[in-house]
Amino acid sequence: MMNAVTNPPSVVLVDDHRMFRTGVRTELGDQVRILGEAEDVDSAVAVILATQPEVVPLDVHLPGGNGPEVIRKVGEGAPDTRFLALSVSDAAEDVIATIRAEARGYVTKSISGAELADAVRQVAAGDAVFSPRLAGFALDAFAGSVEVGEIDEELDRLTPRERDVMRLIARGYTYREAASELFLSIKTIETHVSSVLRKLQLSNRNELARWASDRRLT
Amino acid sequence: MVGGVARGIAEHLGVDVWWVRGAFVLLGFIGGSGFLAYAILWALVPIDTHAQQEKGSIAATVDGRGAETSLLLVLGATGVVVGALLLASMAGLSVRGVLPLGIAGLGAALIWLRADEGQRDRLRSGVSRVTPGRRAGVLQFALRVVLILVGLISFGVGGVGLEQAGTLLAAVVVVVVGIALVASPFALRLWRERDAERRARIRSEERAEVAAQVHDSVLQSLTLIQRNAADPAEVARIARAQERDLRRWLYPAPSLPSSSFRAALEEVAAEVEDTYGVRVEVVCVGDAVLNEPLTAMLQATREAVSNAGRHSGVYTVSVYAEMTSAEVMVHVRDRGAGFSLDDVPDDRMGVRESILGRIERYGGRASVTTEPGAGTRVELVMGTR
Repeated sequence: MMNAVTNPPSVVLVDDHRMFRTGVRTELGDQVRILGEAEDVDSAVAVILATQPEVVPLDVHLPGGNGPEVIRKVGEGAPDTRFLALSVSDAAEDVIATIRAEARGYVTKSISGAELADAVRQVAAGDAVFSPRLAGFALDAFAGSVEVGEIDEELDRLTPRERDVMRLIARGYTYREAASELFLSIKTIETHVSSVLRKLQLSNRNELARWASDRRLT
Repeated sequence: MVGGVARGIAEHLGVDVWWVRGAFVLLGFIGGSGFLAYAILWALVPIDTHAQQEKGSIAATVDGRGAETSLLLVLGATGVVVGALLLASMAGLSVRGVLPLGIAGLGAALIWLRADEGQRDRLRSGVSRVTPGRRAGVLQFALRVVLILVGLISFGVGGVGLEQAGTLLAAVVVVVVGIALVASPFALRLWRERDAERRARIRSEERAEVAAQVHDSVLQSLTLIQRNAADPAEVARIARAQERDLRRWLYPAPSLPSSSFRAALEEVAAEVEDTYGVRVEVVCVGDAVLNEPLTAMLQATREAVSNAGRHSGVYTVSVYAEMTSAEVMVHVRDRGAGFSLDDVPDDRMGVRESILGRIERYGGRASVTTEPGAGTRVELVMGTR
């Protein structure tokens, strides 16, 4: 934790577009330490295992497989590495597949360099990162009634507080803004967001899969 | 051992191969159905080339068709065999007479249906193919031949004892059924190959469509961008419009009815993007049917988003809409210049009339929160009943 605050987090960039990697490298500047780059699944796995970065901003679509494939293949080989899904125009099911493969969050490629640096720092510190769309997705996916007896109740619905937090993030609020709006600490906001992330990863709600397949999430 | 079917199924189901082999043998004793099931599975289940390369023997695995299909195949094959046996015994033919035929049919089927693939495989793998693999292939072929011989000989021997009048007829029936059984997997395979061809054709048509789309829109936009390279705002506007267009094409939204509030809201956002060269990020939860009050709300939203695009001085405007069965809430936000509500002259229609007035006339609630330098938030709420 102290490391993440005092030192810039170490990063491996995974994206099949060199132009995008170069752009991110320039925008992030010295806010992160870039240990390496990779452009497909196999090279990503190799670089991540060799350098053990704190955070991997991971393109959802890659040649030779997809983002979730990288996460699965790295597996226990890099226990301290956390993944942040990064996508430009992907269907919801791909993004959700990456989240469910244990990525710690999801942001669009259109976010600014400063926002991406923030997101990387948050993920490095163990927090979840939600884009407005992902928050909207969570609200939509967990809306409506759960059929009685359908799996784990606690995992299958959002608490009212989690809903409030998701609503603000869906409106484009930062964690700090959400905290002051709800009179909560930033740490509490982060706890709620992490809890929603966990539910997205673990819930067996049928609607989650169905929702993802017939909506786009970008 | 014979065709790798048992191993394939065992791998698919995750059990030891001997269990599957045992099941086949057991089924084999029940009127020979195990043998026929094996033959049919062999013909239908595609060869897994990975397993082949690793092990050097032909291992068939049940692919994406899934376990249910393979189960269905086994059940179907068993059914056909039992049916054939019943028919045969009704016609006065003993089971002992049919069993050898079944074995012979199995052997023939194996050779005819798999020989071509085995040869192709040998050609494909070339030098890298290891000797044990080749030996296994020879062994398999020999096994098949033995099967045929055993079947034919025992049928011939058994045939001497059958002298009833109906025998001939029954034998014909059995042979016809046998031919049908042997031929049907072959026909199925032909059909599968045709299916593959059709898919290839569809793929090439899709490629032509992609080329057309890329040419008509993407290349046009890129040309426009180069021509407007000196005007960043215009470049951003063209790029964003193209992005929207391409997205709609790549990820078509589930066809929302024209009465969808969600669809109308996205339309409004696109219009504002085109007009002011900003990015409007829309997040929707739920949907609602566009009625008169909601149409007024949509117009108020358009006004709020346009104001943000025109006056805020920032590139991104966030729009969030939440629609429940009871009400629709729209939230428009920018982090731009903001303004002081008191400074808006009375004759300016924008905020007071177009936003607040419109909503309140239909019994909704509207609020505008802004301060110079603190961005602007507009919140609109409308009941839906």
